[in-house]
Amino acid sequence: MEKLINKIQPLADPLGRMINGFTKTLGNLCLFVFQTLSWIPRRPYRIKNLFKQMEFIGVQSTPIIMLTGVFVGAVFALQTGKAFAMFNAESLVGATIGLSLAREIAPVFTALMVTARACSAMAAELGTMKVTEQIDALETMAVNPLHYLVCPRVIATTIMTPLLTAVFDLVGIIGAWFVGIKLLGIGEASFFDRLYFYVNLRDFIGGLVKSGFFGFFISLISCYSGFDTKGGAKGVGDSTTRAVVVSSVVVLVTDYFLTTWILEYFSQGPSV
Amino acid sequence: MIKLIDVHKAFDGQKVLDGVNLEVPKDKIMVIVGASGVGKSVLLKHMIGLMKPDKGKIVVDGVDLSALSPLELVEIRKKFGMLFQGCALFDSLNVCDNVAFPLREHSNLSSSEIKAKVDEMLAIVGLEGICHKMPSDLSGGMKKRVALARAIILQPQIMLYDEPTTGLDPIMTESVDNLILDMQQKLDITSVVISHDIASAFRIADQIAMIDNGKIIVSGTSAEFAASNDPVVMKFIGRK
Amino acid sequence: MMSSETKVGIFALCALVIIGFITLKIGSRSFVAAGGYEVSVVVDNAIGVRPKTPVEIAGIRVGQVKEIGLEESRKAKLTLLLNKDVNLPVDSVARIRSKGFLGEIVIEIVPGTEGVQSLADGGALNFSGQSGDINMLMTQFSSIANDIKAVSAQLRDVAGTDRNSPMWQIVNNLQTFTQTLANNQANFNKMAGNLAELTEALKGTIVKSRENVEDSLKRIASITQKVDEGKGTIGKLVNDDATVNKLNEAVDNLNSTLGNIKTIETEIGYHAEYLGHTKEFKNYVNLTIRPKPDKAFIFDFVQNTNPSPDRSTNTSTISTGGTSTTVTTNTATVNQNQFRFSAQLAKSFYDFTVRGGVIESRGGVGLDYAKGPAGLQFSAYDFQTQYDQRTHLKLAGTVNVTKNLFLIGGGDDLISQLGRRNWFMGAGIRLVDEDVKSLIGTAGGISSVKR
Ligand SMILES: Nc1ncnc2c1ncn2[C@@H]1O[C@H](COP(=O)(O)OP(=O)(O)OP(=O)(O)O)[C@@H](O)[C@H]1O
Ligand SMILES: [Mg+2]
Repeated sequence: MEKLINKIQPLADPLGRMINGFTKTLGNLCLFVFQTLSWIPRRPYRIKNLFKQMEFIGVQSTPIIMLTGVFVGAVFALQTGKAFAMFNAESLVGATIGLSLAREIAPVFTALMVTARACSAMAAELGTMKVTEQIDALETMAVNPLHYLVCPRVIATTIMTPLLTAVFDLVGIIGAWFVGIKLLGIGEASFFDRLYFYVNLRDFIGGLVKSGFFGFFISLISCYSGFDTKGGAKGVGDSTTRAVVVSSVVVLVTDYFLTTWILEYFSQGPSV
Repeated sequence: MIKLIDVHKAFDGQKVLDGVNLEVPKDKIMVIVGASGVGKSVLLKHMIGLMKPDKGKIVVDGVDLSALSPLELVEIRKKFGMLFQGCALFDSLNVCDNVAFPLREHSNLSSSEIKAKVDEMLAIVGLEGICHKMPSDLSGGMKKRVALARAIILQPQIMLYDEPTTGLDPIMTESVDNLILDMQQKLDITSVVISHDIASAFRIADQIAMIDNGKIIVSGTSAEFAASNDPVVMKFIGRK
Repeated sequence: MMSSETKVGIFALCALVIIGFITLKIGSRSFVAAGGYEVSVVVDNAIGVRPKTPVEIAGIRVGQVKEIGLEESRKAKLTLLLNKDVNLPVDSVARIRSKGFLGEIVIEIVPGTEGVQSLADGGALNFSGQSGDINMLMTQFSSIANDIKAVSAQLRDVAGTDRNSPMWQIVNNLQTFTQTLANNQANFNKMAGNLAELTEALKGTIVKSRENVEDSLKRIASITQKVDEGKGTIGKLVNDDATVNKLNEAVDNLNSTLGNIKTIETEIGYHAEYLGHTKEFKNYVNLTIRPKPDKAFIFDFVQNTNPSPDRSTNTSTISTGGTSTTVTTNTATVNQNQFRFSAQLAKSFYDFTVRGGVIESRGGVGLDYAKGPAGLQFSAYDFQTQYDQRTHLKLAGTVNVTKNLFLIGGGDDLISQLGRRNWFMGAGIRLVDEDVKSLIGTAGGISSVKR
């Protein structure tokens, strides 16, 4: 018996620590989320901070969103166009791209791009503020760091991600339109007719709602990661990496569940 | 005013504070000295509730900090001003915005009044005309003075200075010492100053405490401190 | 330097405009303008129908399916949202049709009788069945096959093996009949002789009035020919037979699957022109086939008493005492009572119609203009010039008096060098599909329903 315990010990120890660490982190994260939410409705409303963050997250992400959007749409059109040509269904390219853009690609890509561009910066900035005691300084000045730093970022990301998703939707279709109609010679009328026919409003709005959730998740994760920074420059680097990795994974994983819940909820009608 | 009762604190098993008992009298200047890395900054952070003791109590104006909710803690912190050892200036804000930050958060002054007040504070710490510089463009001494201006701008009841004069030239050191004295005399501020500079400590202190090995080994008036027979203190003040 | 508020404002505005734009484009009510109205139709089977499925009249989109529900737990109820400017008589019917290989479904509405009270918001349409897809066609064909099977089964029953059955009796009668014939050989020979005499006598009579008969025979022949060529289906339509009915229906449906052949409009007409100068009549029999409203094939058979002359050049060599001379003679022959034909392709642009092809057996082109009941027709044909002829120009004005009757008048051969210029006036009758079918009577009920 003792022998067995001795054997298991080296395995069980790190496993236990891992589980312990994970639950602790998850607990802290939940506490963090709860506190952030409870601080959001409190005065004073930091409108200026909010707008600064919205500019950083939304306005300044627009070029990269448009660039990726156009090329994602274009590549998608190229691939589906080639594949659908094999069974004479090119006219469905528009509908396919429209549906997948509205439901999946635009929300997910936008969330990933915002993670890469804005949330990494968030984690790094908050991490630096943490290690240089700026967050402590805020507290000593009777300003709640969650209220001052986290709330504007979370609200801004939650608002801006859907708007960027809408931009992505549009430029994605433009990219697909260009490749599909100008290069592959798919009929413009059938391209758009099918698109309008098969893409429902609830797909589009569902996608936007989904991306709102993404925005909320990634900003909270990144802020938490920044607040959780320990050590100096290395710690900041670590927490930035962690923020991006965890955010991306969370986007891809929650995407499945959000799709089931939101889009299925939205499409409670008799059709797809 | 501030009372620490048997405060214990350890980081990952490393004991930093091991039963600290200390009372900071009201409207006096207390200087805390000690070797580097002994836990002075940690002690200071406990006083304002940035750190929670593993064991023991911190009582400010008769209120136990550990019993407070976060919102009540915010209220009590409005009594405090703190200068961080590393300045902790907001590097996304310029000098003026940094100094004006507490005013904007906690006063109803108009922006012109704020501007006047900020200029006055910067003049006091000897930094005029750097209003629009960013903290990253400042030298270490300049940062310290900006941080000092920010800490005192609300004229709080309690001031905590973590090494206010480290990194300053002798002339500037003296003027900062005078500033601390001035504030205490004119506004009846309770001050806690951490210092390595024993000369300046003697110049401003009403009380001096020495921390070593996680405990306060000596605490008393400057005279009592100077007369102490504790070998660590004697070594520290260079008395044979 | 813009403040971040301004930038965010501009960005948000753009994004909201994009959301609005996309919403409008794909929104479920986007097609039907505000103020559309709803009608419902109960169908047996709504497979493939979903919200936003287009609703069409004559291939033009007029609305879409708004929602689908179950009716009395056994049928499907479709709610259609129609443009408010679409007015449907209450006896209109709807049907489900599939288009193309991908089986795209549309709801087709066939408007009912004109002038009947129109359908109000919330009204109900009748369902006329699924059609157009291969499955339905197969069902229809198999039901025809069943009919045929039933008929042959009946025949078999009638024939049977029972020697007393009517079939066998007929056979027996026939046998007896031939027997009798064989027994009366002599009588038959006599009858044959009589017949030979009779025909001889008839022959004499016919030769006497031969001219008259020939003329009328010719006319009959030409008319039957026209009917044969122009209205090949009339033969079938005239034949009132259940199987043909079904076949017609099947053909109709097949047509609608294959294309819009069923929308072909056929028009037959006749008109006569009185030529004022030469005091003669010119008769036209016309067949116009319109596969699309703006395209037509026009065939005319023209009986012209005074046509343009046919010309020929004869070159003969005459030898007189070793010298030979070549003589060339130009002959212009006018063959009166000759039939001419026209075959033209026509295409319409707005109120104008351009046509061209063969006009009165000569190459020609024409331009028509029609506005309301009045129209102008201009034709130019017979461009041969090797005998100094001038192109035959004809300008005519038409007025439709009723849907079927029209008056015509104008000038003919306007620039003729031979003084053949002529004015004319006349009247005619024109029958379009429906009219033709109702004239034919028996065929009236056959395929007009599904138009
Ligand atoms: N957040 C923390 N996590 C872990 N260990 C810490 C933390 N803060 C301080 N320590 C440890 O506590 C001890 C005391 O640090 P503190 O900053 O109080 O020293 P100090 O007395 O202020 O020194 P100096 O005079 O150099 O500023 C150090 O050994 C430090 O490693
Ligand atoms: Mg320190």
